Formats: sequence, structure tokens, C-alpha cells
Amino acid sequence: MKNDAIISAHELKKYYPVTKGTFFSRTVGYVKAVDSISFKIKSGETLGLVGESGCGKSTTANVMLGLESPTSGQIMFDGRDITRFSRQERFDFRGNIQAVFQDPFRSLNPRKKVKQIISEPLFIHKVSSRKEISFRIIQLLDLVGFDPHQAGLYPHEFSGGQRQRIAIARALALNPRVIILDEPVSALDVSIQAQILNLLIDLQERLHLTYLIISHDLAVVEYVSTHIGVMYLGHLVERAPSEALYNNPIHPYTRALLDSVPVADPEDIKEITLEGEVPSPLNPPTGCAFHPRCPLCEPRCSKETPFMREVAPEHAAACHVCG
Amino acid sequence: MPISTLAFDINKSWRLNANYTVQENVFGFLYGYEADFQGLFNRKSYMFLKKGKKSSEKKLRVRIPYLGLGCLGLFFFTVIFANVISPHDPYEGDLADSTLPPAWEEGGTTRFLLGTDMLGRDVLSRLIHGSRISLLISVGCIAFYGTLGVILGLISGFSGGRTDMIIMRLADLWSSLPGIILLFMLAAVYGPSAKTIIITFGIMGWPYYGRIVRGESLSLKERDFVRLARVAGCSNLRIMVSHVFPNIVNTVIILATIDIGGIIVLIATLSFLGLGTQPPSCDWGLMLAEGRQYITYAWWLVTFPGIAIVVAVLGFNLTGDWLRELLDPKQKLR
Repeated sequence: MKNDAIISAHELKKYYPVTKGTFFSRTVGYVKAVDSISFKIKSGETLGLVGESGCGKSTTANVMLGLESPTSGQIMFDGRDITRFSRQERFDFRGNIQAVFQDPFRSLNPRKKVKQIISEPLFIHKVSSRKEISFRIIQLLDLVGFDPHQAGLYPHEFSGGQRQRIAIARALALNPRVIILDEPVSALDVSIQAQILNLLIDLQERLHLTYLIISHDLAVVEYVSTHIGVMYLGHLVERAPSEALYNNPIHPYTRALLDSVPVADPEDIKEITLEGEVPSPLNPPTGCAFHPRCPLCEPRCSKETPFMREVAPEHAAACHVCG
Repeated sequence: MPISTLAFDINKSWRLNANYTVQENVFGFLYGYEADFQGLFNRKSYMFLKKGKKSSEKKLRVRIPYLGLGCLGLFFFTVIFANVISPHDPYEGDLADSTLPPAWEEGGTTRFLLGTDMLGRDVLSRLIHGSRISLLISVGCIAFYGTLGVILGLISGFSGGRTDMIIMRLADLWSSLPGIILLFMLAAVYGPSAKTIIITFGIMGWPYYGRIVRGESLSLKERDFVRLARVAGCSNLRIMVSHVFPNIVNTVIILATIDIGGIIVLIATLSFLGLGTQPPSCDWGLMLAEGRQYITYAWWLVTFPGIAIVVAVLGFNLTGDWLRELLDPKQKLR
């Protein structure tokens, strides 16, 4: 059972209706923020989702967290479809998936003390007595490297990195099995980023956590992830183990993305440089969503939608031309 | 310039031994003096873990608005102890003592410190009892429409969509109704009284609070900590009460304290116009209205109620300003 996927998404879709009129509104179109993406994460592994801004990474996180309901598709957790949960089931389930968000200055309530922030999930789920909760707070603070006496302070008394550690401690409060990290380090200084990433990796080993990390920073994703998914305009275009993706990228978009990482040696030739803008998700291109910007575009790319094809074990890409 | 040294040592007893210095400031008399407290505001963090290390030893600067608190203190003192401190019955006078000037004027007696009105009633006693009416009506109004406005504003901002639209259009509609006409109407039907004023303004005032609270909660509900609260399983009600409301309570307090001053003036105005409380009530505005006719030879009949109104309004406004700063955790450390 250990190698089974702990959480997986099947044909997950999230369309936002575009409406006209204020009171008696009608739908005139859809923004396809997430269009039919599928992935699996095994217990103890980390899936990194990368892509440009607006490609649907954060929407995926919101849907996975149950903050928004998907238009269609399933999210399976331990064999149960969490999108079809009733209110009570969802409430009971909350502790299994927790989240850490991008901006630690916005993700902690400025009016609450650290101990209140960390213990809130415990109080809501009434998991333990008051005395146990204060022990748990100390334990959690210790886990992310704080002294117990800092529990009485307010978030504004901490730096960005420290705040993010508080956010992590809160996410750990209910002993989750999966943590969704939505750009966990992009608001932090580079020197702090490594510290937070190391903490995350350390916690993963100690608590056997499973991560879904979302970032636009390839270096961050490479450092943390065991598997990587590349998203473009709501589609998952390539999915592979971390090493395979970096050594042998298949999809032209992945290649362009990897080539865009600044390198120390300016002699290195960039193979693919993308031009143009990401098309509007309101009116996505026909066929392969990437074809207007693709250097390897063929006639059929604008007609047929490519599906994910396995090119190597666990390595799949959605491209007609490559692989 | 250090003036005094006193503060609390929480761990041992209430014996005073920490540092508290007061800095003098040119405008200190109006806006308050700055004082450094040590260990007063992180008392709770000590209580949480008694054996832990000392919490951060930062200096906490709090300014104290002596004038505002003094005015407010005087006001509440008269409200609470009106029966004890007023030297005479505010409603009964002897016509033989009619329009006596204040004690220090020629012809005044020490029996009536601030003089008497044309019916021989003691002005000081009437002022003292009038504070009760002012407080009752102003707090009644604020509590009524403040609560209504905050609840509707929270629901509106938090739910969004159609609910939001309906509540806000209702607020627009409501603001377009002239309050004074409604007051005339209610006064005509039920008779002018304190109750009529409270009900009228209670009904009329909510859109003002509702809009501001809605705007604040609209921006707050998009914050990540609200999303995280959802992820943790908070119900909407809990998010509203424990995440959104604490972050707008500042605004509400500022609004309320500024408003309370305004309402005291408004009640005085209404009484002056004859729409508010009726004689023989000792409302300050009514005293002004009654004293107006005698202003040429009995100046004390209008001056002292006027001063009383100023003191009460100033007290509420200055204290409100101070509370806003004190309640903001970010302001504590500077």
C-alpha cells in the first residue's frame, strides 16, 4: 500500500463563468482556469507544479483545498472522492490537507497571538483538552524552531521568514498528511528561502508528509520536489520525476522554461526562447494551447488537442511532435 | 523629562517597581503624555508560561490623554453619582430664588453655585442630572444603529453577490430618507421623548456604519488568513466573529466615539428645537433653549449647559482617538 497514490486528481476542471448584467445575470463564456488536469502524488513524495502566472496553479491549489468546488473531475484521497463530501464529511476531513500560502504578512491574523493562530485548528476540531493544546503549541513551536515564550507575541513582531515558520506550524497542528504549499517562499528574501525549504524537507522526513508545492521558481521546485508537473494555460503539459524532467525535457514549453533559467555562463546558448504573451484563457487557442508560441508547431497542432503520452516510465508529455 | 516612577511587577505582586516615565510635550495637555511601560502589556505572555524565559523586553510606549480621560471621568462621575452630588432637586425650585447669579457674582449665594433659572431651580443640579439623559440617549442611539450597521455590514461584505447588493441598495434607499422628517412624524404620533429619538436615530443611522464595515470586511475576507481559516474548517460565522470583526473593531470604535460627540450635540439641537425631551426634563439642549430668552440678563443659563456639552464631546473624542491607538497591536511597539 505504501506505493499507492495518497492524493490524486482526475480530469480536474475549474471553469469560471463570465457573466453579464448585475441582478439577472447570464453567462456569456467561461474562463478555463484549470482544464482537465490529472496527477498523482504518492505518500511521502513531493509534486511541484510550475508554470507562468495565470496558468492555473493557484486555482488547482484552491480546488484541492476545497476552497472552491471543481466544475468537474475527481480528487481522490485514500480512495475517497473529496469533491463529493457532505459538509460534515468535509469538516472532518479538513485536518488531512492543510496549506501554507505565499505571503506570510497576509496569512496570519494581525490581531491574534502566535499561540492563538497555531491552536485555532485544534480548537475548531475540538481534538484535545486545553492543557493538551498548550503542550501541543509548545511542541509545534519547537518543531519549527521557536522558543515557547514566543507564543504570546503578535505576528508583526516577527520577520517574514519567522512568520512563514509560524504559518507552517499552524498547518501542522492537525497532523495533516498532505500539505499544499502555494508559493511558500516567493515572498521571502533569497537567504531565507533556503532556510524555509530546508525546514520543509526536514519536516517531510520527520512527519512523513506529502507535499504539493506550487511555484513559478524552477530552482525552488527542483530543490524540493521528487516529481514535477508543468502547467500551461490550465493544462498539464508535462509530468515527470524531477531528475528526468531536468535532464530530458520533452515538451517544447518545458524546454523553453528550463532554458529561461539564468545561467552563470553567458556562452551557454539558449535553445528555445519564447515570444509573445500567454493567450487569454477566456479564448484559448484551438488544438494544442501552446501552438501559437511553439517553435516546433506543425499544422495538426492547431487542430487536434494532444493528450498525455508516456515517453518513459512515469514521464508523460502532451505534445504531438516531441516524445 | 521623567516625572514619576511607578509600574507593575507581575511575577511577584502588585508592588510597583518597574519604570514608567512621562515625557512632557507642548501639546501634551490636549493629546496626552507619552509614557513608557515595561512589562505591563505582555503580562499575558508571562501568564501563559510562567517558567519560560522573559518575554521580549521591549519598551511599550503609550500616551495617556489626561484631558480626554479627565473630561470623560467627570462626565461619568456625574452620571453615576448624580443623586449623591447634586445639591438640590433638579426639578423643583422656589420662585423666590428665581434667576440668582452664580456664587461668585454679586447677588449670588453659595447655596446655588452656578445660579438658578427663572423657576428658581439649581443650574448645577440640573446639569448633573442632564448628563444622565445625554449619556442614555447617545449611547442608546449608537448601540442601536451601531449594532445594526455592524451586523448588516458584516453580512453584506462577507456574503457578497446578491445579498450584498440587496443590503447596500437598502442602505442607499435608507440614506435618502430625511431623518428629521421621520422624527417629526414619530414625535407627532408618539410624542417627543428620549425614546422617540433613540428609535428614530437607531433606525436611521445604520447605513453609515453598514457601508464602512462592509468595505472593510470586503477587503478582509480576501486575505490569506481568512482562506486559511476556511482550510482549517472555520464556519462562516466563526470567521466573521473571530477573524473579520476583530480587525474592524478599531474602525467601529473610532466611528462610535466620534459619533457619540455628534449625537450629544444633535440631541441638544433637537431639544432646542422642541423635538427632543420635553420640560421639565433637564436635558442640556433643553436648558439652552429655555435659557435663550433670558440671555441678556442671565448669561449663566446658557453658558454652563454649553460648557457641559463641550466637555462631554471633547472627552469622548479624545478618548476615542486614544483607544484606537491602544487597540491596535502594531501601535504598541514603536
